[in-house]
Amino acid sequence: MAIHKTAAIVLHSQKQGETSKILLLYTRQFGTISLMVKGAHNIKGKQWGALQTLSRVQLVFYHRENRSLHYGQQVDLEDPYKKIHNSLGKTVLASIPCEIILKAEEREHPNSRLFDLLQQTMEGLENKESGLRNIIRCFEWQYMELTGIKPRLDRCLQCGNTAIEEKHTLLIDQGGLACLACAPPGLALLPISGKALAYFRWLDQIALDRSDQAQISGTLGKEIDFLLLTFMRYHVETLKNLSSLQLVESLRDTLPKDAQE
Amino acid sequence: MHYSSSAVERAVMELSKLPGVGRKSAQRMVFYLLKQSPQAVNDLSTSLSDLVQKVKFCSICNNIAEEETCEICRSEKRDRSIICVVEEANDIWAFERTGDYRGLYHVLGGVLSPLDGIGPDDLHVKELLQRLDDSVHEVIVATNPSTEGEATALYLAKLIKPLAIKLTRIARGIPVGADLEHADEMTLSRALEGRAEI
Repeated sequence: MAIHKTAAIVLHSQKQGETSKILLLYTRQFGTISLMVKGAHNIKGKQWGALQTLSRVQLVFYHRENRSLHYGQQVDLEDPYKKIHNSLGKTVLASIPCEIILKAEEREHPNSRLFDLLQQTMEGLENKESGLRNIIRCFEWQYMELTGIKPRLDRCLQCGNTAIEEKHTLLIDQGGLACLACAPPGLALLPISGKALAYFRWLDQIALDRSDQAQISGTLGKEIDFLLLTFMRYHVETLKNLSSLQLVESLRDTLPKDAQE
Repeated sequence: MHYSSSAVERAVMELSKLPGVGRKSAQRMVFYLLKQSPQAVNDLSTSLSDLVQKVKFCSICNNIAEEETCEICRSEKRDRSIICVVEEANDIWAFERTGDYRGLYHVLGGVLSPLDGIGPDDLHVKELLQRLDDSVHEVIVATNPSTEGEATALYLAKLIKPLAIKLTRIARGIPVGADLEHADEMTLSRALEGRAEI
């Protein structure tokens, strides 16, 4: 049983018995791991605040070979993401990337770039006050790039035309774009507007910490979200039901507009 | 493992469904029960079947009750102008042990949890809003100070604040007997936010 130290973000936390907790964390060195933290419910325990979901922690744990549950030795809080926890909209939005990683990523499959992307997303939600939904869209786009499922949008897959026209088609299974005239019949197709295409091409060029700056209408936002989700769900079957998105929908009347559009 | 008695096998199987009880512990419990007097085992059996037949949820606050409404909702001695909102019925008993609270309760039946798919429709939020008439002057939100508990408190605040009812949150921070030097920054920060004049 080797002892390791790594940075991690708490994705999920669940009570186990009277005094323990089982945490699901995304770690820089090990990917998603399950961790048993004994004595977590001891009210005088030092680790109380570090065991909350949506917190960044420094973790020392015993890695048990060929086991799926490891033992936490020490969990120190690095960033509690206080502003996320103080806002309902930010909390719900921050749950979206966490759920995507939990559902789509294989256990103990490290990807330090994905860890950095998750950390940047959390920091974006923590530090920005507007354009929050765009930060999540940028996460989804960059996640698709990291996992190799991002569609090619630089040219039509059929004729090579690079011009942005008013309407294009997204060939879901071929992972790219086609002009309306070139779209082959009988394939899984999604219409995509010129504005949505321009937005995705813009996402390709900017860093996540600037993604909040996009000004997009509610209708365009809905189209972009639909395209992102349909594409992700087509290629990653485990993302078919995202509870966090359903919660955004059910809180539509209570969440600030910025968290929705 | 198969037992020579199907009754033993079934009892082990049923007990091992309880939280924190594995098959071996269940087996120990069954063998312990077999050594007890028939009366003691019957008492246990009756108390368990009473749970199904007699225990209900209070139609007002969703607390555990044996009648249509719970003892607390029926009591004339309780202050009806304050409602304390808790996650689960066992939180009520934690408050009752203090002896400091004389108002009413409302059990939500959980907290908002995006990753577990628990949304507002899964909680007793509508029932709470229906209780908030002119006689209610204060609502105390006493959900746990976890991410999900805080999110639920913020959600309730959005719904209740427009009703012009005083809305308070239980204090969060340093527990009695703890060391400040060991407290994490989130806990200390909450403690500072909730500081009170002495």
